[in-house]
Amino acid sequence: MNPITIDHLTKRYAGFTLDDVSLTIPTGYITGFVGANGAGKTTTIKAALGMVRPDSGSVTTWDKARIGVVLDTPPFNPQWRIGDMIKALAAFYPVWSGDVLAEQLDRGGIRADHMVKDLSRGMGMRLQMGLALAHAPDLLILDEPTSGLDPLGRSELRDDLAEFITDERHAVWFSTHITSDLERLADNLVIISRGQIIADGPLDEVRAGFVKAQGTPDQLTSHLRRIAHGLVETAVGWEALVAGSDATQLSASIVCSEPTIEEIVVAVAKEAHHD
Amino acid sequence: MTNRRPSLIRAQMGLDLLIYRRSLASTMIIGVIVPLLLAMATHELAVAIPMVIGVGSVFAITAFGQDEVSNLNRLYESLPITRRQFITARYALLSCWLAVSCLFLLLLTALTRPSSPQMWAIPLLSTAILTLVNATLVPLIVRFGARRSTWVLFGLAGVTGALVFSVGNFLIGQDDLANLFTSTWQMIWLPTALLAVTAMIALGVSWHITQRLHAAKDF
Repeated sequence: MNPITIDHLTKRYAGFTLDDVSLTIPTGYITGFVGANGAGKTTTIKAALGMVRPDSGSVTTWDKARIGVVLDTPPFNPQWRIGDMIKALAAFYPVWSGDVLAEQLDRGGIRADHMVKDLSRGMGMRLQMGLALAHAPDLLILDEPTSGLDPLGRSELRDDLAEFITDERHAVWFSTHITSDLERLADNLVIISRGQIIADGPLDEVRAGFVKAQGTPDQLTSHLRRIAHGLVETAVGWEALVAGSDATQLSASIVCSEPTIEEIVVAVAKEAHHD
Repeated sequence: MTNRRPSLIRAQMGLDLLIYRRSLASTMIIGVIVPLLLAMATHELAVAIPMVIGVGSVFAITAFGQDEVSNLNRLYESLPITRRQFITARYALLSCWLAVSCLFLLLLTALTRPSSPQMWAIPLLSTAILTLVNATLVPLIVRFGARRSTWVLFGLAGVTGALVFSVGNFLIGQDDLANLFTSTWQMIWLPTALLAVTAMIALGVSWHITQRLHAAKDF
């Protein structure tokens, strides 16, 4: 059984719908989950964790004792002391490693007598990571964990995830809108926009599914406008993303190259914004 | 590395106690120390018991209120505890709280050196009232939120207090009323027992309703 299987999940809110989302998080890989703010990343993760009830579709996950969760902000009472909180949370799990947790707390400079409200953003993330790893999970779910972290914090988090995934029984599902983290880490990529999955597959295949096209204004035909995503026009030229399947229709004089993940996400987001 | 079989309900109760720790000082002063001193000094329960009931009535609001303020439901949903177990843990802790309150009320009664055995019905009646208040309040809090439910609590407390005061005053002046009952058991203990049983059933029904309400929520 895969760690997470989401099957035709739909969830409606006023002004936003998570629409027929299907995805699978496999073991042995880091799956990146990317999209603009408000695209539906957090809602999808919430549905996977059971925080929201789908209107239709299904979600199957491993037992939560096997899942470690790191959220964008620490989900703790600000008045709690770290030491007391650790004792209380350890009681939920059959397996608990004080050494693993202590290492993370040490790296973050977190003491047991600190209160949650005393922690910086990086310390809060380090605390969550320590708590998530201490119960020896097989799946890590991280919802925008690097947002607001300094470069060192982001680098350390990436190192932790890379080490975690060396065990092929493990899996990581990592949502972010910072695409450079995904380029460095992700094996698989899921792109979401306006509540719908736009792309899902191995990182290289997702990237190969789009072509970055650049040309002069006279090359911008009406057909090209129809098949282009995130078209940017200037007085001297234009740039757009084209689906790999449509790329064969491009004239040989148009400059084509492989886009970065950021370029794909930006183009998708721009298109969603214009629509 | 420790390896054991956790009791998830006990674990949740332990986590909830962290929430109550914050209000421990005020609870001890208003709900324990002051009523204790009053009972010892005056040998009367008229002020002490309402204080204990008042503090006991905010028990449920404290936990669920903190969940809302600190968005703790994100934490609970990432823990390996089901929503049913979560609510069961809350009610288990509430039941412990009610039992402790009952024992404390019995202690207060003992300190007043009761002149008649019927006085011992007061702590049992008070615990039953406290149970009914919490049994009513918890599903309301889960459905409407702690902030809105606070007004319901004030309303309930006001109505309960007015009812107890009015009925008590009425009964005190009714010498003929005693003639309606053939024994103290009928006049005091039977209604007390009935109210206690009703309160326990209400708590069970409350658990069932709260569990269903909580299961349907989005966080």
